Amino acid sequence: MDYDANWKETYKDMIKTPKRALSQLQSGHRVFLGTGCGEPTVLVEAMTKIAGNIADVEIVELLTKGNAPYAEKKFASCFKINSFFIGHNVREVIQEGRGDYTPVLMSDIPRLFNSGQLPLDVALIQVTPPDSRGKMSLGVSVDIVKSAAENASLVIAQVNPQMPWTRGDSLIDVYDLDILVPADVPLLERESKPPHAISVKIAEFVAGLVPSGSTVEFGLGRIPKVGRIPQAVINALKGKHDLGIHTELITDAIMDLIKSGAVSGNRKSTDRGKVVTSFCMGTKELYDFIDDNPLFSFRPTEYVNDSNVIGKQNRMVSINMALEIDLTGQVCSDSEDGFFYSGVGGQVDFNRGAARSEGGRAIITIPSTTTDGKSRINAHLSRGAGVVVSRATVHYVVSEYGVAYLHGKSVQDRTLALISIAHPDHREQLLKDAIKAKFIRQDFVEVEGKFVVAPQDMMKATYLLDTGTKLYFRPIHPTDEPLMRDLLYDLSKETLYYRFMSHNQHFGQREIQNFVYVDHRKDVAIVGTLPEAHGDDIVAVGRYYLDERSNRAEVAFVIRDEWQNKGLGTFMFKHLITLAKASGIAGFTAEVLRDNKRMQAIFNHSGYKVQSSVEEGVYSFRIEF
Amino acid sequence: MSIDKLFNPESIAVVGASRTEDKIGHTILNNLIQGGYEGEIIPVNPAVNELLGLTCYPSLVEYGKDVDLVIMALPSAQVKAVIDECARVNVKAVIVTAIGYCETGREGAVLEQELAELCRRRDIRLLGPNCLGFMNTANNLNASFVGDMPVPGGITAFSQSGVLCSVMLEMTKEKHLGLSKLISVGNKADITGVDILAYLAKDEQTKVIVGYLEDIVSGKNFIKAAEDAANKKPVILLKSGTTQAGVKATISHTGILASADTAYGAAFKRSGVIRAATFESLFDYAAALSMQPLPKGNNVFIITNAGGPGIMAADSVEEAGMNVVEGEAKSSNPIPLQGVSQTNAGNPIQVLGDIDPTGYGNAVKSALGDPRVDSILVVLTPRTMAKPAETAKAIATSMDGVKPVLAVFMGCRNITLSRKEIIEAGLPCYDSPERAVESLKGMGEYAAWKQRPPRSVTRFKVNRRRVERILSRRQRTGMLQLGEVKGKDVLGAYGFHVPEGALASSDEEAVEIAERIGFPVAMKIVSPDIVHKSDLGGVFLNVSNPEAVEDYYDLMTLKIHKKVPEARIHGVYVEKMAMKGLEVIIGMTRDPQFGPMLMFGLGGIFVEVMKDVTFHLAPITEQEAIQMLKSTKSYAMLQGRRGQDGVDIAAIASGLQRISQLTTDFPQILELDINPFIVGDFGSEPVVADARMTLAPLPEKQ
Repeated sequence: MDYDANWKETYKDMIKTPKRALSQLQSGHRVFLGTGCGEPTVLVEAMTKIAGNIADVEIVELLTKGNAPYAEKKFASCFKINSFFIGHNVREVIQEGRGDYTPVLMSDIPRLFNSGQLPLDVALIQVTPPDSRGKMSLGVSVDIVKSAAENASLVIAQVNPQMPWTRGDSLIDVYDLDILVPADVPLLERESKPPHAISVKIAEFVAGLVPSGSTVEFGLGRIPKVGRIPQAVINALKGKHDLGIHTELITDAIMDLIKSGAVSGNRKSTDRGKVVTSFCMGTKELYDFIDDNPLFSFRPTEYVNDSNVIGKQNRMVSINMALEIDLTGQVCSDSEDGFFYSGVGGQVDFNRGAARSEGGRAIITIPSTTTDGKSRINAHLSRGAGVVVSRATVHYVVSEYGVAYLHGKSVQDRTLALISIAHPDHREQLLKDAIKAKFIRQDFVEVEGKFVVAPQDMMKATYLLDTGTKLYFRPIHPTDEPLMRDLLYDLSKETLYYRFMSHNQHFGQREIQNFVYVDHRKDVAIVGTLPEAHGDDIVAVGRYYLDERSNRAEVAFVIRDEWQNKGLGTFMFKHLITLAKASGIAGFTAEVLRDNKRMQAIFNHSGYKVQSSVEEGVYSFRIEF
Repeated sequence: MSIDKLFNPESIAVVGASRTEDKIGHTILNNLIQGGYEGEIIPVNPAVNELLGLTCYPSLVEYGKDVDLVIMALPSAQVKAVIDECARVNVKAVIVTAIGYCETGREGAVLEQELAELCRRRDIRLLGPNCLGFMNTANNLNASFVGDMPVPGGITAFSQSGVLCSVMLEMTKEKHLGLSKLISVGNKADITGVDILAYLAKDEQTKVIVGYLEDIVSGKNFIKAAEDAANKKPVILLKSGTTQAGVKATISHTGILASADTAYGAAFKRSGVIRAATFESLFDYAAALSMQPLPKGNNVFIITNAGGPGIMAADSVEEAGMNVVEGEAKSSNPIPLQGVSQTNAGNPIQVLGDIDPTGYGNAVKSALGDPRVDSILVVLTPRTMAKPAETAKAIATSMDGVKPVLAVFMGCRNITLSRKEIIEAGLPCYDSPERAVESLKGMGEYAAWKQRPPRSVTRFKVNRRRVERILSRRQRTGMLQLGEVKGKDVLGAYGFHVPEGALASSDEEAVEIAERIGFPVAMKIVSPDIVHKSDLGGVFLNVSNPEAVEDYYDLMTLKIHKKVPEARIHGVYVEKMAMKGLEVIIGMTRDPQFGPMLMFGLGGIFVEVMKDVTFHLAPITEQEAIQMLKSTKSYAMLQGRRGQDGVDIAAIASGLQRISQLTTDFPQILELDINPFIVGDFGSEPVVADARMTLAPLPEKQ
């Protein structure tokens, strides 16, 4: 960028030393600090130096990357922190009650400034030098800095030639500032750590929910001792193509994703071809990358976090984090162990926007447990936990054990879905708690001990029909109960008779539960599904039950009438054999009615050694692996 | 210190009393004696021992006792020395008749300032200089050289001009109007029109205040004093001349349309003052208001003995915005006039035949009894049976003191002979229906003003700090013209609805902004050197696609650069096209005396050609804002016409109230135009389509 080479001469009346500039600061002032790595370090240092001369200065900030010297205990009477988001540098202050936290939607913060509801006396910000038109760029932090600078009575800007010039809506007129403090210093940097193993697992599930061509948001915040899960998701998206980015924060990981070629922005509905963001934290390499780079459009929070703007983007996927979630779907993400931990940030804005988006997905990620083994999925939120996303607006929840889709689902369905992605060690207890809390029917007592979620990997399979339709096979799941009921009631009389060998089969709660709650060891059941608006539609169920004495399993399956004669039976049979063999089972047994010629054909043409005998119109098969 | 002792002194000294008859010193002394003043009169003249039968003293001190009022019939050079002496005999007030002060120029002004300062230090109130003194009929005190004492009455008249004081005296005599006081204010070095108003408001003898003003020292104090006075009794003022400060360079519509006179009009309207357009009408109003009660409504009943003048009267009533109560033929329920044979019942007036005076008396009496009538106008022409004098008396005796009755005697020569008696009977009479109706209108407006609800100014929640920072930075950098971008920023902070938009400094940026806010967009050049953008091709409206945005950006900057090569171009403001609606102008221009004056008018020809605008002083209440809209001739346009829906009047009123708050909060805003302010259907927010402001420069640092 070509700056005005003579700017120090042109605007010399406005230039002051850091000390002179900060001498304008008075006791009782409310001071806004520039965000993240855009924090004006020289001004903050100068402000801390005059701590002895001032009292009761309220520091308003979103989050800062510096070490926040003003937050030290010895300055308690000089500086009071009031943060919209709790970063690591002020967490202690706020948890000890020395500082304050303002829970607010990020998208609403500019309005607090614009309406005059939260008047600012001073704003300390960092900008680039002015160009020939007298415009300066807010550089790495446009977010709420723009509205703060537009509203504060006194704006002191650290003018730093090392600040990258960013494109978008990041410019501010030099005459809209009051004092310029030249400073040629490196920007604060943020090193990213390699993602935690749990994050990587969660990221794989999330990546499965992000089709190519989606526009993605990666939420702020971190999980204690696990770190930033969206970071890991970014890495997991490298195999995609034509992704778009509309997110609050740009990091090195996003730069890597862009460089990998996965991002084009060409399928965005608005801001096509642009990476839209409001601030940036990372290394010098990243700052160089964004400098005057037309790919990026830095916009203020009032645009980036506007859920209407987000919702207009088709296929918008928001990826955020939770610290705790209850079985009804209330998402806590600003507190941990009864203390404020992070903040609301843009989670609600993006979650809502993505939910409204055509083909969008609002995803909340959560590790199933804390590092010391406590479940983060609980029947009730812990004392002091703050709900950020309500149970009415939660959509996808992803843990390292899978994906639960909660939107539009009853409390019972949510409970079962969430238990199924909880850590296996906690599932029994969660089920007990859920029964006690009346989240699920009391007869679930019966399935206690059977609430097992199958290992996902090997039981999954797909089958491509001649018509090109792809069917997905997976182990049956406790949340399949309503689907199972749908299937059974849809079957024709003939199919029912063939399967259950009775004309008067009645399916009560108990019978259906018996289908769904299987231990996946002795009792194995797989379902063939098709994606539908409400989730999956089950078209086929295959099951075997091991008789441990003979080490043989009895096998049976049922297929929706309209999906019969398409090779599904054969496929399922083979898939079950694969599973059974892996479990060391010696063979299958089966009973088939004499009229059920198709089933008999499947067994007879399986290629395995098959013995059969008939008695009272029922064939008994015995298959050796 | 009160000025009561000025009007009610126990002793009066005339310093410079003279035996030479032509001299002021002689006239004043003579007037004091002739007027019948009962207190002590002390002529002071070192050269004379006795004057007009009174002992003459060489100096005030030598009189030996305290003196309340001193009248100085001395040239300006000698005045100051006497003030010191005054202090020694506890003088409460002085009248300085000398000329050679402010009215003569700079030196005189200095002299006047010194005189005023001296009086202030000595705790003496000063009337004048350059004044003719005053008369007070309550205590037979003629402390003036205006003329002979008038008849006592309820009217007090004051004037800045001495000559007009004499005219006032003559005029009241001719009209047989009684005076309480007549005051020549002169240069008002100490006692100003404001002090006089404040005093007269409390003065029991004064029932009606009449004044002639040339200028006002403090607009704010004037409004307060006038409002206080008008709350107690009618105040009728005639204002002439314009202030120097009122003539200023202006570029805003509001500024161009407002004159200094507008500010006075607005100030009078605010404070309940009845504004007289002519010298004649001053006393037309005064006559009616001093004799008749205030009307309770706008319904005027006209009684006449001739169709033509009756219709003229009816037309004037309608034109003045009042209603004529219908007579028999048109009304299904006419006003019954007992004991009168109605030979001809016309429309909409009551035309009586050639009847005798008692008939008129009865007609008035029965009309007064009808609840549909608020006031009565009797119009008489010379007919065979008409005996104006007797008729007037008959009417006067029929009056009930609850509803006003005004009489017009057209071409009745012989009536002038008995006018004195008619006036004494308490019936105001006029030579033409127009003048009577004008008086009636003034009475009605004053009555309405007196019944006004308490003024409660709405305070909107606004971002005052944001405006403060914008304005102070602009003042600091000397960029005193706020164009569209900053102007809208300021208005946005005060709750105005501003179309979404942003400044683009390249064609690429313009396209990005346009796509973000959505098509169609408006594009306007932004340059501190260009005020009238559209004249130079700096405005494109309804631009509906990205390609056009790009083209127009280049075209516009190229065009402007060609036409005004020296103009600094900041870029192009791209904003969402405002909705369709009625275009109005609201604005403000700051009067040096009265502060912010708000303006409302309909856009286009209504403002440009017809100058159909109204003004009101800030701060403004909601009712006043709505009244502003109603008092334009184009108000019908706002109410909807020819099948079109009306617009949201309250939304415009709210805009005016917000400007009122903005310009009251920020005295540095000298001018403001919102043009056009686009008003849509009910429920839609009016939009600021363009705006402009002028700021005052920062005061020079000492």
